[in-house]
Amino acid sequence: MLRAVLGHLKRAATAYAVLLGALALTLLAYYYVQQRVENEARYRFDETVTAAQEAIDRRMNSYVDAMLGARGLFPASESVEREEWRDYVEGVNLEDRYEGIQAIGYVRYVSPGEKDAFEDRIAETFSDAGLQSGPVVQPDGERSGYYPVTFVEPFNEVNENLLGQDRYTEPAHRDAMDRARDTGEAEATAKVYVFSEASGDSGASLALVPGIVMYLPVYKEGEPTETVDERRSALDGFVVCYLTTGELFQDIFEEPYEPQIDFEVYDGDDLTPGNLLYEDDAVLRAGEALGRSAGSVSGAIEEATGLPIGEPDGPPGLNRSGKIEVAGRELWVYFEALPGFQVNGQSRLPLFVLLSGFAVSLLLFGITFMLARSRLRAEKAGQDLAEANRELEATNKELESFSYSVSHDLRAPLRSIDGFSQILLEDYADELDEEGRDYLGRVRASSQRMGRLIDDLLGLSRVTRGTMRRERVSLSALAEEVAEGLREANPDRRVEFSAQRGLEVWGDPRLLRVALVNLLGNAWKFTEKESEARITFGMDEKLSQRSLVPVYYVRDNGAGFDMAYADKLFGAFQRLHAADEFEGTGIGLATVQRVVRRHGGQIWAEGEVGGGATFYFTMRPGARLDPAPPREEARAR
Amino acid sequence: MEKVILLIEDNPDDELLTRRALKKNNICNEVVVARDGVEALDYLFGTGAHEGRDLGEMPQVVLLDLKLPKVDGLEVLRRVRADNRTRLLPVVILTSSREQQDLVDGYGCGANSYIRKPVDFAQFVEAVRQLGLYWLILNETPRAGG
Repeated sequence: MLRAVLGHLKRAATAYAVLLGALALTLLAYYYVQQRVENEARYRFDETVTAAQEAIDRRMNSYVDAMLGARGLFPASESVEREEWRDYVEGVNLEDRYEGIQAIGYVRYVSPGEKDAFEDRIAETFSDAGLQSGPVVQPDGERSGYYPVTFVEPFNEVNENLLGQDRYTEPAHRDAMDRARDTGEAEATAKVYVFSEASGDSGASLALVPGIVMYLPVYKEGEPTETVDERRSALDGFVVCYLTTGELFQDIFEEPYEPQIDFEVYDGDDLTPGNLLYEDDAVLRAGEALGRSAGSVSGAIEEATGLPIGEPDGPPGLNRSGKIEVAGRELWVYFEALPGFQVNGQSRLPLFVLLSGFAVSLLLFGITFMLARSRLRAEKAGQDLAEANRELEATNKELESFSYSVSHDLRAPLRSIDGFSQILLEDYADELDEEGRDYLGRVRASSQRMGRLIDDLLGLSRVTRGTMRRERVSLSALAEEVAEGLREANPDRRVEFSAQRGLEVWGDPRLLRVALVNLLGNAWKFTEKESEARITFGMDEKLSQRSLVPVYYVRDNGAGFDMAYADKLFGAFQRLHAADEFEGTGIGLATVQRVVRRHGGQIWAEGEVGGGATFYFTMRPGARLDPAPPREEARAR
Repeated sequence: MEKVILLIEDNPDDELLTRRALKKNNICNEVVVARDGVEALDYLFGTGAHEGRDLGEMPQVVLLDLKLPKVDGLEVLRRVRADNRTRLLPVVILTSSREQQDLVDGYGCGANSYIRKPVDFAQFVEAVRQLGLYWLILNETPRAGG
């Protein structure tokens, strides 16, 4: 079992090496592409985050600018009236340009002594606007100082509720106002709830929504404001700006930002639902993410620059939190890539690379494996062939020694029979009568015939074995030569012989001569009773065209044969004529057939009794010489 | 005195027929017969049974069968050609074999002639006649050992 496995591994070693190599490359490519895609996603995420932060920053600054513009009204005129305020706010086109600003107003500092006079003025304003007058400064009560909203624009159903409101009573507002008064800068409250228009279907006209309020101090004209104490005593009031964070951030995070990134904005660095100012998709993610990687996030919350900090949690949860300073307060923005973020884009690429890499690896493995296997098979087949060849050679050797024995040992006794019969006839002729001499003559004829049979058999076996030596052979010239030999051997015969010229083939000249000697010899023999014997050798055009190989023929007008026996013509020792009619051993045509077959061809005959015979033969396609000779076939002996 | 003919032949029938064919052609040289290759070499080199033979007397022609007991015809021919005393001896291969390979080997080992014994005795007599005419009468050989 182990051996089988080891053997298999050894044979298919290349294939497995290819598989491992290809898989390694695939994994490498996968890793690389994965990194690329991740980096790209991270880059895209970072870009978006940075842009979003910058947008928030810009927007906040523009609010502060609007407030600064409002403050500019105060040095310009001795006391700012409500109309001036309205003109300014209308002038900056608040509602269109500064989405998220609910109201921009003025909070005047009123000392206890000024309170009544102030309330009278406000009541005037109320009646001007056709409103009922309640307690003017709210909440009611005696305090060391009052900070009621004096003007507010745009002046509408919602914002009119702000008039007279003293928010200094609330810690978040008081903290922002104190800071603003002391620093002289715009300062924002923590998360507070501000009045806003109720959303359409609630039925109420007012709603409290999350927001922040910014205060910018206004000091009395001409008083010093160098120190905190000077600023405290110089305070006239605050430009106040009410922001509803929902509208504000929704406006900021609208197009063109990546929809697959969730934004959450918190007041301060405690990212809990209580401090949530804005939430993009109604799912709180920051707390969960911080729970997962609290160390990395909180550890990184150090930089005061407002630039992104905090380690991304890595895929699939790309996230980041960062702070933005807005009017003295820190807003924390939490960003998280939603699952769709990476699918968007090329995130299928790594998977594709991995799968196609696997497929290609397997394919390569399969191909290499098959190659190795077919090579092994070819080697095995080669070995088998060599083995078979060796066996054939051995068989051939045996055949050779057999025919050697036949030629040598069978002939010796025949020679004795013939020789001593002759001696009897010569030396003892007187003692034998006519009949005895006749018998001895028959003994001699038989032994001589047997000698010829042995010779023919040997010839037949020589045609079958032995190496083919292929060369250019002119069948026409060969036929002429053979016919000439026959003419010389039978000078008393008159035979009209003609051979077509120019028939050349690629074959063994010795074997082809044997074939023509037998075919022409037969024709010669079977026309001996004709007074005008005709023998022709040539190529039959019609048959050649039909069978696509040259068909050669030897035709005579001799005794012919019965077509019923046509299939017996080519068997060894088959004779269609009585021995005393035509002499012969019956091996000639068997020999011719073997020669033709060794040249890859076929032989057949047509004839009729008394009507002559035609022997057709072909050779291996391509054996005919036109134009280039085929490569020589080397056949092992 | 005419020189001897050395007939190396293991078949007594063939020996008899050869003698008769020689006689028929009026070739009256003494015929020395060796029945196998060893005997033939003993005669030629004066060893064994032919110890002390006068080696100045070498056959006019050697008729050599190829298929012989003990040492075969081709080996005998090789040794004859390898020895200075017999190097130039006319050797005619007289055999039943007609195998191409035997012809090539025979001439390759230095045979002067190769004759195939025909089955037809009349043809055999004719062959021996021509052989005798050529090798015993027409052909001039250098003096042995000379």
